[in-house]
Amino acid sequence: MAELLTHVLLVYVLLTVASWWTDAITARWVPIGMAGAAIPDLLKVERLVDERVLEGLLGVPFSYAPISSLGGVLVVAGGITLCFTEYRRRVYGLLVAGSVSSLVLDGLRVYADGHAGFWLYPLWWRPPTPNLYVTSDPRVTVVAVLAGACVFLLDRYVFGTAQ
Amino acid sequence: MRPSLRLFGIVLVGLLVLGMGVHYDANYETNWPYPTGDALETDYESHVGDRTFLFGTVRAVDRENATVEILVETEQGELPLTVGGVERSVQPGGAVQVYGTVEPDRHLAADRVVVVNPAGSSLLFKYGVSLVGALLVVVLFFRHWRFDTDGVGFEVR
Repeated sequence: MAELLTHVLLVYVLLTVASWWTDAITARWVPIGMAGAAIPDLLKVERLVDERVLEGLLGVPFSYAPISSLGGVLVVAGGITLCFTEYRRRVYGLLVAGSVSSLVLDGLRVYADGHAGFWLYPLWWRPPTPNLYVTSDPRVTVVAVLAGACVFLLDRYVFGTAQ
Repeated sequence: MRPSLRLFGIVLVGLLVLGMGVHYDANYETNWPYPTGDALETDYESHVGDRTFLFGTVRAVDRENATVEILVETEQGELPLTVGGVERSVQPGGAVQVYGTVEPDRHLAADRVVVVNPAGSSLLFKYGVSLVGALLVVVLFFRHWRFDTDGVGFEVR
């Protein structure tokens, strides 16, 4: 996957720009979407609890991979939403929107055989990819940081909705 | 919604994630059209001539012969394979995708090699930048939201 900073900045840019045109999105909702963008990265939990540990407990083969897929983020976003005492419908919508944007961005990565990973699981196991970038390409991060900085400045000094 | 009911929902979500993980693993091989690292580790010779698509960590680079030795993670450990036809620049510790044909003696004839991480340090870059992203989300989130100990959950500041 692209690194987390690019994922969260993409959502920051999309939601902040959207907030210039709609009152439904204010500054408090932007970090909810950004948190959603981090859901597919929860896959990294495998570095804390190895899959083999869970396989031992469950007694059947297991993989964390679905966390970084459409089915996984729809479910995990539901769990995170239940940690909120209010506005749960809007929280869920933004978490899912943020995480889907991350999955789509990852779906554009280079795969040597021309088919992306399992990001649309369980609907479509390996959709085609346009092979746009590799994850360690620093140019992707630079573009994301520049876009984030531009939107931050525009929001602060021109549109002013983040106040 | 009462906190106990929400907690029940969270447990249910955890069980669903476990269920998906089991379903995914059980169906992975039927939806992966190539012999996996595990399949090659178990019975390499029966897959000679097959198309394959593998991910590996570069152990050694031989620029003269345009080959790299990669380690593919399998259930049994790491499977060493020599990949021919690698013209892209990569260093030991880097990560590559290889799309090609399985040849005898643990050789792969690559049709396409994608260098995912040119060196081991690329992974450090990704983790470092990701940490910045995580901190950004946490800081922005707690500027607008707080944890309510009475209601047991996050609420608007």
